[in-house]
Amino acid sequence: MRAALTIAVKDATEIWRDGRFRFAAGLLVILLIAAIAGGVHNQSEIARQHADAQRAERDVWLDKGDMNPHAAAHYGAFVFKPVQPLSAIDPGLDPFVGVFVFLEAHKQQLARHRPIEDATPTRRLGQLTPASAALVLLPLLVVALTFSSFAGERDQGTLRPLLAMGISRGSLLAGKAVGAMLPLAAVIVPATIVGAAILFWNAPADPNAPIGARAAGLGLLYLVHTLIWIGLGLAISARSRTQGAALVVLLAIWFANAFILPSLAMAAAKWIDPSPSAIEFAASIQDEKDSWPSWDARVEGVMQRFLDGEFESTMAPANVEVVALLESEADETALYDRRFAELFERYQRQARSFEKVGAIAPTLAARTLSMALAGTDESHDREFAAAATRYRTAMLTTLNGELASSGRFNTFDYTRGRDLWEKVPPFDYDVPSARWAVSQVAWSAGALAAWLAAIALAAAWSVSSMRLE
Amino acid sequence: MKPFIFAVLALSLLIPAVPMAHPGHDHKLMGTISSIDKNKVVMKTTEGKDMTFEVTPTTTFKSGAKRGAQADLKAGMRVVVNVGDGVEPLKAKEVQYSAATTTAKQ
Repeated sequence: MRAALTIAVKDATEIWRDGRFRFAAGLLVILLIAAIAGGVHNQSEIARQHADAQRAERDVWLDKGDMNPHAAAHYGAFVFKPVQPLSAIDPGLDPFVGVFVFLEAHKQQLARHRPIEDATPTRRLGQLTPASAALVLLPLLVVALTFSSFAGERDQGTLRPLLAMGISRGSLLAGKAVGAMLPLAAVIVPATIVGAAILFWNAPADPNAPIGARAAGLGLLYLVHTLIWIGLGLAISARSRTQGAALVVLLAIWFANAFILPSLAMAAAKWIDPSPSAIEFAASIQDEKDSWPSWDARVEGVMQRFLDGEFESTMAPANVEVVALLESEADETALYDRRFAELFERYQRQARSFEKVGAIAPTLAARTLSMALAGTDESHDREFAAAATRYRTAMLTTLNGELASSGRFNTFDYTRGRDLWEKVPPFDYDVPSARWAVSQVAWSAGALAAWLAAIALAAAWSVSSMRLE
Repeated sequence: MKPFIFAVLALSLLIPAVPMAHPGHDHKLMGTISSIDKNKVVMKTTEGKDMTFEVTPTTTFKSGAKRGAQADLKAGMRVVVNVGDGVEPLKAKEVQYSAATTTAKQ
């Protein structure tokens, strides 16, 4: 134990004395802090705009004046996706999915306005986020710190004398691991403190949002991911003939994890489960609706069913067209529910495929988990869409129900005002718990845990069987 | 992001205040005949309310695809009555009926 500590202190001191490390570490600290500050500022601005727009939209809804309840359903309402506080750390899919849904009678829509459409051209090239700094840049620093751990000692001929001093291979591995972690702490600790302070002073988008478990989960995730890379670096350094070979192999693995495998996994997921474009999706729904009876035929059908004695409900409105309208609305809601469920199921299968392909690369699994904990992944987008659908159904039930129970002829001339609009409550979306978020990406959590165990074993085996010269 | 917010709000305000997607035109009401007194017909609507309409010389009658007659109307008969613009007193433009005699429940 003492030997491991001595090795760790010696390695850490040597690394710290290296001006190149201090430069790289300083640069990474600045990048991490800049990424957190930029993410928090961007998130706060978007959250404020969404809140302003949602308030303005509510005022427009309440102040629209007197009108027929079903006309009010056509008037529709916008609901905005709440900005997740931890999206400042990992914006995930948020820039690429719509941020508001227009809810109206007879039609259910996909979320509109993807923030990336509003971004400057340079923003489209990619954005430095705290998550990408932690999951892409930090491993690069780990590679720089670990590639020569054993291979360098071997190249310099100091490995055999080190072991000849009676230091066990286990102590050597532990010392090298801690020796790499200490300089990393010089990067992670100040960046985390400053980042947390920036987050605190800017106040999260929703100050009451329960983000403690999610934030702790993110911290643990980034720590585990860094440990995996340290283990990987040490294992490869122990097995490589030279430190040059170790560096090349580690850089290749890092490049594949950071840039190649994400694209490949996404392409594979889309190839396994192709999804329709927004235009194709809308066209397929329209095709199905076009095959339905016309409005006149639907009205005629209601009359005929009533006259044939099939239509027994005494709670039905007396007006044939109102009954036809309610039935048409119910058919359309069922159609949209089915089609949207199919679409989101397809997206979910793509996410699952991405996760499974991603199991071959720890950074992919970590990225999936990071988005889930930040509340910016596919499953959270699906939950928001489901909440918007439920809100739409409740809104239509209130408005159409008022028309149906209005009495006398239940006519379309019947008008109501603000008192009815107030019966449609403001849209309120509660973000699922951290446990739910992790349960949606259980495969990635399992894959990352398996990676940590496998890397620990691989590092131990590599060091126990490494050549000394 | 600001252009997006302005676009959303502008879109909200541009939506017509009263988009009447479903034309109101003639009101067709469903019910079961309760009683007939010459040209005055009382029916219980599917909502359980009593409603009286008047049969005029221009009222047409239909039983399925065939032309019907006022004399066919009987208590307990299901009818769909076109009461035009619905202004009181209600005057039937067209009465469709069937032989089914199921009485609407209260």
